[in-house]
Amino acid sequence: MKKTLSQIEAGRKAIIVDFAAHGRGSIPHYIIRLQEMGILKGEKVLMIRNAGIGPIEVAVKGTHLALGRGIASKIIVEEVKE
Amino acid sequence: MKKQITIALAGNANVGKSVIFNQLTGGNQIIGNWPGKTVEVAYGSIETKDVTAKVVDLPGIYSLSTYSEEELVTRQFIMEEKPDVVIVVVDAAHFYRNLFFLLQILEIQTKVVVALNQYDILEKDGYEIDTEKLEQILHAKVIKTIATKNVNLKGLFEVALKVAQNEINGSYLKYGKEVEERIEKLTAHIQGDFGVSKRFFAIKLLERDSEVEKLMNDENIIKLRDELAKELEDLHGENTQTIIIQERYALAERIIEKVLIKKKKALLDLSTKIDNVLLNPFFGFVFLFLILLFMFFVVFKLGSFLSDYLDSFFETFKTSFMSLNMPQYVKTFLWDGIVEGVIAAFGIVLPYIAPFYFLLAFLEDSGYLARIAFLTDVFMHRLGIHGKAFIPLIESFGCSVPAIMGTRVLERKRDRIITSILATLIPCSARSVIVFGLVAAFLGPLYAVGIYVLDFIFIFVVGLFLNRYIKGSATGLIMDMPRYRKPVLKVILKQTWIRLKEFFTFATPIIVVTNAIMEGLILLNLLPYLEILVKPLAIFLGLPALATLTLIFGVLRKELTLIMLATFYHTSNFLLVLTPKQIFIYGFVTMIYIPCIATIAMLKREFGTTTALLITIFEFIVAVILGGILNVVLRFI
Repeated sequence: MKKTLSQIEAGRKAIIVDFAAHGRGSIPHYIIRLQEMGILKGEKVLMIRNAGIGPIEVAVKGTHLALGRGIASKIIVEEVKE
Repeated sequence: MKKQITIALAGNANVGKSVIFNQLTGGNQIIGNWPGKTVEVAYGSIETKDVTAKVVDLPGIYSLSTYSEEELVTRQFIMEEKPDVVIVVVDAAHFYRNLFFLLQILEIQTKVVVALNQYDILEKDGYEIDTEKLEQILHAKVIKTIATKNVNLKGLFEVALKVAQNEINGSYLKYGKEVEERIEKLTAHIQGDFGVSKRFFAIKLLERDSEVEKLMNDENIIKLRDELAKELEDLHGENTQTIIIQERYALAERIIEKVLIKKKKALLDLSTKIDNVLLNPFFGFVFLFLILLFMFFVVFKLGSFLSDYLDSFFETFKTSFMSLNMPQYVKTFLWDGIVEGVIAAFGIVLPYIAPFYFLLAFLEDSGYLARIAFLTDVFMHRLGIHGKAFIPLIESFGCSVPAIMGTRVLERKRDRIITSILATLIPCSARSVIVFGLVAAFLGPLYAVGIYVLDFIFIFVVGLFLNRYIKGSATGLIMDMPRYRKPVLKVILKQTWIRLKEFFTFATPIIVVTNAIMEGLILLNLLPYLEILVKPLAIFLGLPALATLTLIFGVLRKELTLIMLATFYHTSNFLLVLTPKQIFIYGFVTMIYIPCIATIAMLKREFGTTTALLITIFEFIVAVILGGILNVVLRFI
């Protein structure tokens, strides 16, 4: 089931599927930055912290990243069932 | 003659670059602004038997794109200054992400030595890196280091010197076939010497890097780029920027598979465990509140002690100065006009801001500052900025000047302007001196708290207003969460110095000069005229004209209002000359009515004259209106 990253509970894993409102051509700068920080399509992330409000913390590519809720809600993911 | 060699240190933020820099140069360093830019670059030097090595500590970045000024500066430095060797400092414990950056530096095809730093943490995590294999893959020397314990840094330096004198190695790492073919095609068409590899330029062109496009300035190349980029985009269904990021990470992954060896199961991550408490939605804020309270308590205790100490020191100096054989007015001008300005910087403000910035740097180096940004993000979002903006706001409790400089941690100009305006409204140490010395001393501490509360409400309202009316939408937070670590004294001192230096070199001269001008006005006996001029304002605020006149001096430095009040009225018992209501209004107005001259100059430097003037006029008008309202309201209480 597709969700946004902001909807994933702490302790769960998810795979990044897409970025909302992102087509070809010029893409928003913050998406490039996310990708440079390792938030890429197909990447598996582990949700470390998600309190329902405020930023979230994820583990990706061996590091921890804090993302604002607005940004996290633009990242489309698929939850990984384990 | 000795050989001159330039060594640059590059790497992600928080990898220990500054520790390596300090250990290598032994504190023998100058921190300077990059010419024309507002990014700090530290220079130092090392002398050996036959070489003088200049070491440059570049700002910490994650990529060589154009997202931030730091990234551009690093790129320009490597391209224009052509260091003889670049030491890429890599956080071994976060090897994957760091490889992403390292691969970009290698694309430039400059001489590189890799420092695998914090290697002990990697081992604690249960891993090992096969450095020999890594050297073969990267075609570069790799040294394991533990900077905080000074392990292998001498070896690193020696290898760097050796590499600097070797011929450059032409081999490079290849990307996937489809991308690689197009890079090669584009590279073959690039002509001219840009100081770095044509391959780097070809890749940057494919990424649609506007800076490189400007340098290239060749229509045919751009046309070819467009064709090649379109081919790639059709193949992958993605933007070329994304494709190249993916390629780099894919390459990093292949390297990791070959060189990273898992030894044993990792221990539970202590940092995450600590964060379960410190980032808890309840305890997190309690702890944040306590730590800030503790900070201000320490700063004011230590500050007032140092301030008194320096005061009495200058006082004895004054006595001997005044007994010199010179005309009285010359002595008065020299002392009150010039020396007092210097004393203000060293004797009044420094004792408060130096300990403050020291503690702030301590929090920064321990990793807690990133947690503050995390905790305050929700709240800051209401004001149209994100959590990282809380850091300069905290800084401005010390002094607004370095705080405005500190807004450079924010990526966008909109965020920087909003944060800077809010920073000018935060009670800096000088304003706190007034609130403590006037309101708390004569009306009681509760009234002082009242002023702070009113100010914070005001700041919040201004934030909401700015968020609404400054064009653009709020940016989100994207921030690395570093692990907690034991702070290193040398790094803390360097950070403290960077912030203090801004105060000294930038603010102090402005304060001294304007102070001298003001003293000239007094000596020329122009004050009575000014008194008539401020009369309407005085009636509106419900203050005596003489007291209102002292507000002018607050433009120089806020705490001077209090000093002038005592000077004009020949008493420091202000209850004799002002009613309690007037004291409260006076305290409130001085808190917000205008940024001091040094802050205005800083705003001008960062955002231009118009913005600086608009902010100043806006704050003045609002403060007068609010002061007037307070005057009316207090009559009924």
